[in-house]
Amino acid sequence: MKRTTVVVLMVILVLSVFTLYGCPKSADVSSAPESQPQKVEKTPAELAAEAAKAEEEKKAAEAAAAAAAAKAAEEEAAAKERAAKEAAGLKAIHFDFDKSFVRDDAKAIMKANAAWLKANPKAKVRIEGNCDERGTIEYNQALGQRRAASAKKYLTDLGISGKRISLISYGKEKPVCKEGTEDCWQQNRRADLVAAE
Amino acid sequence: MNKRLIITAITIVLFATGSSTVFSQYYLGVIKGEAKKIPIVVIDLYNDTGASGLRALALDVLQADLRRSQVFDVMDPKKLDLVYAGKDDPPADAIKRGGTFGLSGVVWARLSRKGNDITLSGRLYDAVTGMRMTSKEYYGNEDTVRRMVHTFADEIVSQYTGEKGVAKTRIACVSDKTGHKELYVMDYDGQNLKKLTADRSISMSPAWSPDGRVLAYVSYRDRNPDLYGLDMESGRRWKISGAEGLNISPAWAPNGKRLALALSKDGGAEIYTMTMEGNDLERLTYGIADNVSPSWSPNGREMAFTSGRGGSPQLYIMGVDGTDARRITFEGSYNASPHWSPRGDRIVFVSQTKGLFKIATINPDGSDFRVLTSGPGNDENPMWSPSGRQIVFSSNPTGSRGKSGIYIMNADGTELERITPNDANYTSPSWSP
Repeated sequence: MKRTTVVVLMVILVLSVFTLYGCPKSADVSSAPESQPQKVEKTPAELAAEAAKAEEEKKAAEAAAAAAAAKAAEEEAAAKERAAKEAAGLKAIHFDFDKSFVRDDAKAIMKANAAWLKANPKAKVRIEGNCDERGTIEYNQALGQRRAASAKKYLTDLGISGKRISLISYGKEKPVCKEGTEDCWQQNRRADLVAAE
Repeated sequence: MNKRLIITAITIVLFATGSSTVFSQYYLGVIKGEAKKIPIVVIDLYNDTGASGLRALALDVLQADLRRSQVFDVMDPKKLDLVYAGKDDPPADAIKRGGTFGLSGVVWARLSRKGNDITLSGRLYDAVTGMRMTSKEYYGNEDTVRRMVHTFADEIVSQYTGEKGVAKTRIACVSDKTGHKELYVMDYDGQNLKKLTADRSISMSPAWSPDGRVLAYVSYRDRNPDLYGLDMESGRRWKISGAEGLNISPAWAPNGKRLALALSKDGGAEIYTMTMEGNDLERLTYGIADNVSPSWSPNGREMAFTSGRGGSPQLYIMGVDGTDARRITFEGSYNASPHWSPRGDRIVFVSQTKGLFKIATINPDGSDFRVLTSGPGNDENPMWSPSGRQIVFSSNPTGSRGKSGIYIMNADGTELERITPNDANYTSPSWSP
């Protein structure tokens, strides 16, 4: 009887030691970079440094403006491209997370895409595989390739010549929606079909 | 009697849990601290150049380098009342005073000028005996002071550890500062950012050759993800691999003679090796699932990689001839992007926990899985420093809409530091040898 109590005691003590050690506290990535302490008096060197900093900030602002302009131009180009895709009568299809099979809701779209390609025998198509932001750059590139290949197989099964189809994977590099929501992720897990001469 | 024992036990447990928040910090320090750090002080950096900003700059860089090396506990000379303001080498009694405070080393340096040339004279003393352990002169100009100080910091690290320090290393990465994802390189502390490409396309996955001369990277500049080589000395650039489909996730063999990468020319993504000119192709993996992100073991005999063959992306290890593939991660539904420590004993990778992607490490035999980072963001592309004491990775700490930055931290996840500004996204870090 006494021995069992001692055993129970030991177990409880061991458990308590575990509680003490706990889970190792891991690094918090959300911490912001440390800010510089404010100084009240300023030496000429500091003033010069401030001037340099202002210059740098100005440059950064210019660079940001240039980047914004480039981005706007890019978005415009992307919008045009999307419009061209729609005009061509080819429509994108969407996929499940980490999956590349053509879903039931995408089959009708792919049949319409195949019909358009049959009606326009000179047209070629580039299938662009895309993923949502979750997961690594490299694994998503492979997944995007798999989605594009899966869409291609659907078209060739419907009698479209594989010679008319080219593939490219952008992985998670070309999202159409940038929110961190499932609705947005679903829009990004897609294969775009782009008509090409 | 028994009752009293049980009550005592319960009291102990209650006490232990109740006070665990206080004690855990103390115990964590003991568990996580590897070898004890060496206490060291920089008593002064005498500036004889006439340029007033140089002293603070050089002193900051030197102390930060020593701290980041993970080898030293860098003490504040003012707090120890060890201020020495002389122009010449400090006398032995000033150094030995440091020894009486329990310091191991005392560092002193001087910047002097001759015309446009700047000399950094660096001294390291044993604080107990007062003896000079090293005395070095570094030559340059005002623009190379950081580099000179980094070199001196590495010399101090090497004096105590016999290892090469990391202060002179660089980190390649990808940034969208211009609106396009171009390749950049910076010092290991995030300074001196330089743009390397102007492709106006998408660049990713840079990887340094073991001699630090060539960066292999992936670019969509020819409307396909192709693998390129960039000679960092001559500026020569060439296409290493431009097969149809994917030519991605390059990794150099430790001897620099071959590159491993993933190609999709035969269907799914498979791992191959080739020379850096793209010749002598050899296929390592076969199957219906994707295989990407190879990383060589430091002895060059094995390779860790990501594979979806088990139904979800997980880490595997195989021989460099493709045989004996075995799975090493079993926790969680997404483990990817492995990088094998230069010390050989750990593999760092990305692991999905509670919906977020975090940095984790594991032993090559699959034991001792540890998640190192927390917070609301997603972390990616982890890689060891050449000493194996630090890990670099990218993270978007505020979630999807925030900007990604490059972070470095200790191998155990402590002392996290963001090294890039918040003006653009910085991703795909690669630490130079």
